Amino acid sequence: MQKMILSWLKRRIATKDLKELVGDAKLKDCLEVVNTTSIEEFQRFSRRSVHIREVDAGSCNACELEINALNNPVYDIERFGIHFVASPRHADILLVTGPVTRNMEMALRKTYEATPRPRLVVAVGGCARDGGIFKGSYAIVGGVERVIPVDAYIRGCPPRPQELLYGILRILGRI
Amino acid sequence: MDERRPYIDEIKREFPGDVLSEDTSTPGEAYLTIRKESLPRIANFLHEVRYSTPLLSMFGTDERALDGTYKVYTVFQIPRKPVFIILKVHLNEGELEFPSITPLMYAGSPFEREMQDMFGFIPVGNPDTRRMVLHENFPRGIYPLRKDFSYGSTLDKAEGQYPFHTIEGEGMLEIPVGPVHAGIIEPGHFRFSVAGEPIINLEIRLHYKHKGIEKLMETLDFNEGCQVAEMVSGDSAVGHVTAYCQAVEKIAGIETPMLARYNRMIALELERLYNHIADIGSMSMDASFLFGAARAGILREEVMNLNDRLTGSRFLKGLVAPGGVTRDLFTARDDITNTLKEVGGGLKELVAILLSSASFLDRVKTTGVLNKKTAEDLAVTGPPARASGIDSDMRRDVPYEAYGEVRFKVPVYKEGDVFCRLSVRIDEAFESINIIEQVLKKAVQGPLKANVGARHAVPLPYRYALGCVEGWRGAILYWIMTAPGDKLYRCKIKDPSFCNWPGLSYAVLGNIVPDFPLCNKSFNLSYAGNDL
Repeated sequence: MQKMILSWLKRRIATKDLKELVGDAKLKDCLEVVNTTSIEEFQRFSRRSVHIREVDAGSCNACELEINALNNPVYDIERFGIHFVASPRHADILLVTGPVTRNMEMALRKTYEATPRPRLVVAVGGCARDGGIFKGSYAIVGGVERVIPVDAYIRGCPPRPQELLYGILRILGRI
Repeated sequence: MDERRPYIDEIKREFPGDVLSEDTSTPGEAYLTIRKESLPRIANFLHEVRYSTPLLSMFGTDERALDGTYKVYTVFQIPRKPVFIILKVHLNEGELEFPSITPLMYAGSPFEREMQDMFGFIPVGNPDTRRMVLHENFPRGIYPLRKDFSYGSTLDKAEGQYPFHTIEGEGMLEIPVGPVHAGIIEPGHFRFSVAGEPIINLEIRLHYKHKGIEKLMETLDFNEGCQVAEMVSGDSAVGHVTAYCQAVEKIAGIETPMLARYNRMIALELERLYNHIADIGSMSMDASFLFGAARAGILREEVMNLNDRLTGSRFLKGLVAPGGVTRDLFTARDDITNTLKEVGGGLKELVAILLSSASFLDRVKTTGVLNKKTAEDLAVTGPPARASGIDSDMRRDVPYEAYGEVRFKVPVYKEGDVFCRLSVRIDEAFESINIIEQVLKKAVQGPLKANVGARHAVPLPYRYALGCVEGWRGAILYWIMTAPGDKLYRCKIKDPSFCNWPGLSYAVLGNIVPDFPLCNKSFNLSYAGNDL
């Protein structure tokens, strides 16, 4: 056992260099900012740590898996002072995925109301934009903006962890 | 001889006069039209008395356009045999009652409640008649899967309160959790009733993510249906789309080329591998053994990146299509072999450390026990079933694609606790690597895809077939009926989570609330696949 652990310590660290992760020029396309004013205002408060509450409003769960991956040692979003929190009351940013289903509409609205200002809403994935493949269904309300105001979109189906990291760091004005 | 024959004959012998007609036109599937009143008796005979056959699915259809009736299909599989027995009951318009199978086999209850919401059928005798799929915001009297309801309907907003079960008594406390719960996770509501620390009752309320997927399918043709099948549950994209394609291919009478079959197997096993590794990690996380979670995170990422290099999608989307696959993974044979060797080595080290940590084992052993009888009654499938002593695996029992050509073990454990579910996953992860290695050794040439489409092998309208895949969560079942013009008339999707969720609510009984996340992760069920 000791031998095994010692051999690990000699290995290269798994966490990727930020430049390697978000250096790709193509990543620019994944972020769409819709409310520049609110984001600029928010940046003045978010110089240090930022707390994110993730809300799934009806996704297929691929977006959740990629957001979850941000916490693994490869992307390690915590090194930038960004934490995922359990309650909207502790959050600065809501990261919302999925088309908003009728059954989740009220829960999403209540979550938004429970988030203290200044706050940002970032909608993640194609479904969150306008309902995606489920657009027009009897069981969904539509994209996230139909229920709460959205400040920025991160595109992709689902967006890769690099794209999520790029989007979040750009919104915070870190890169 | 036809393998289905002895079972059909036995049912006819046991229930003289109850079987009105039989249909064996789809290979491996026996459709028996039975008298409505005999449904619970025949179902119970298959389930309990004779074969201890698991209930795989139960669903309704609106076939008024064809013969003026609604129908209820109840799907059973003969254990360890590639034989599906499907009981079919006709319901005339205006007489939508049918005798519930729930009093005799509890697994029927969620299916019946689903039909009650989506078709307005009335399962007489089911003690739980609360709405399930359609929450209070849906007005009463709408039945989305009836043909006279359109997918794009705009509905009014209704209000109401869901009648949760209440557990009363001195010192009882209710803990409501969700639908937005702590962590990066899908929405669902859990209501714990506790007396002190131990959980006395857990009521799980789901369908917050209901998006109308089955109705959406009815507006599509079967190439478009592929994309939707991949989005039923993102982490099981390959499993779902393969089951979907199998049903379509069966209807069209298409033989998938061998090369495509091998490719699908590689994709299915890669999917199992990355998900099982993730689960091993999250179980360590919830037992507060963060080292395990970190290591598993790194290993999983390696498989995800391999997926990305192979198909351009970290979830292997876009690979499987009706008739075959869209690209050949064999061209990246070396990449797959090398990556899996590394991942396999890493996983071995991780498992050795996990299983030698006394504090970790203390958390997982004897926690969240699901006993075999309960698992059978609830028709639990996949790793939770195998951890509770049920020896079933579709890959072996109904060898689809080319699973008959490879050798692999099906791990079965008896105790049914978190440790057993963890062990099943660990064993299966190694078996997945083993299967991929065996497949990669095959030398095959030929087309990647058989022709399916508008001008070739057009499936006749109103034909139906099942597609069945052992996804990493358990048996994924698709039942498809075609409409004219390559359209889908009905597509019933059954994700393994649908039957496994009730399993979780029994496994946690008597456990303390802080162990709930651990029990939950040991099942790791899909909300999206359940809610549709």
